[in-house]
Amino acid sequence: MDTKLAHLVDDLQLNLPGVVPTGIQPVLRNVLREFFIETNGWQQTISFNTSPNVIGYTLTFTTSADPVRLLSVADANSRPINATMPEGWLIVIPYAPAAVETWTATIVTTINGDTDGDGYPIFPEWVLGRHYDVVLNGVMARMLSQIAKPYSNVQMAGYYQKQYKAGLAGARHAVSMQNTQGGQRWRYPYFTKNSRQGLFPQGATQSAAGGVLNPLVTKGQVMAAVSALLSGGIFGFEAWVSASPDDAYNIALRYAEDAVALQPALLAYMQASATATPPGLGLSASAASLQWSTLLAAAQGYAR
Amino acid sequence: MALDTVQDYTKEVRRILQDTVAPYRYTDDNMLSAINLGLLEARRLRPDLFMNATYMQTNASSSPLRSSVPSFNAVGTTAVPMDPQYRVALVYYMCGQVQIMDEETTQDARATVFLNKFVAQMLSLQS
Repeated sequence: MDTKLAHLVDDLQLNLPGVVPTGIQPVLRNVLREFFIETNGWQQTISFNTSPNVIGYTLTFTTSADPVRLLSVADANSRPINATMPEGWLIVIPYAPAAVETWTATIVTTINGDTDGDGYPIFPEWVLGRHYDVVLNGVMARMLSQIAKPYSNVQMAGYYQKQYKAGLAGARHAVSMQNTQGGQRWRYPYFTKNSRQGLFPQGATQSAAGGVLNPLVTKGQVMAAVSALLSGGIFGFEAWVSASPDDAYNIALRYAEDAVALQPALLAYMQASATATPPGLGLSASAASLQWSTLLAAAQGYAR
Repeated sequence: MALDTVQDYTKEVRRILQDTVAPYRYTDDNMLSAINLGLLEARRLRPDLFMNATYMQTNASSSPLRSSVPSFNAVGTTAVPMDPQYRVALVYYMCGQVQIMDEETTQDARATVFLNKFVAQMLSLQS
């Protein structure tokens, strides 16, 4: 038995007089199943080979897990595919590929009925390292709410259930942030959810217009792109959007989020002499401020 | 003292009932009947005590709860599959059950106390 699992069982026996490990096991199984379904916490990437003229693929998977929902499917070039998972491990793609390729599917999974030699459910070890209290509170709530047991206590069950639900929400948020602290605050628009991971495939290159196709760009790259945008004239923004909508969209998305951080540099750029290197716009402070506001509003409006 | 085997349980029940000198008032058959019935009662009240597949007479792939409850046909060194926390309760059940069977001395009230004690220990913190 894993050390953390042993600690969990110890904690439960300390808090629930009269409980036996064999009574903990089915409750732990139910709590973990709910935890993974609610939080998307257990994601697995599975490769599968496509065949010409075939749109349905049943994935083969050896880990002790059941599928919950499909997060994404990407083709051999990492382009997102709008696939579905109607039942079990069956992946249905919108069109039949022309050749044999290796695609990847990212799937949220949860525990199945498999147990280890001691009768405990099989699940990833990191779960208890990261969400120990959540699981503990969930098991406590369910154990205390059982009928006719030495440890039955409806009042305390309610207390632990509240703690558990709060922990579940926190875990769900942590998973959605990919367990980062203070990371990117922006997120993809609503219409990309459940269908595509992003607007642009990971690994795409920077465009000639200065836009960045990869959504995971650095602030420096964004500033360079915005500088290119400004060099075309503030009021050329809409025209530039028409010419390169994908690039403009991506920049605007980041630009609106990073506007506060970028503002001093951009204002300085606007006010710099047009003859400087690199050339600035040579605007007065008031004109720069006005155009900054115009640009920001346009970027934010587009990002929405 | 340890309460691991059928022999241990029988010895403890006889000590509580002051029946420690052979020939015993309560025979081995009485004891076996009591412990077998006690396990059936424990299974009814606390199925979680019987979730361990290794205790049950089945293979591990099917649920232990759908298997038969263990029973014994000899007072020997066969282990009794009962969690340590509830072994005393089983002893009390055996005490009550053998006294229920007793027709020579009517001790139903005392037997009832033992049987109720068993139920209370199985379902509550009461000792």
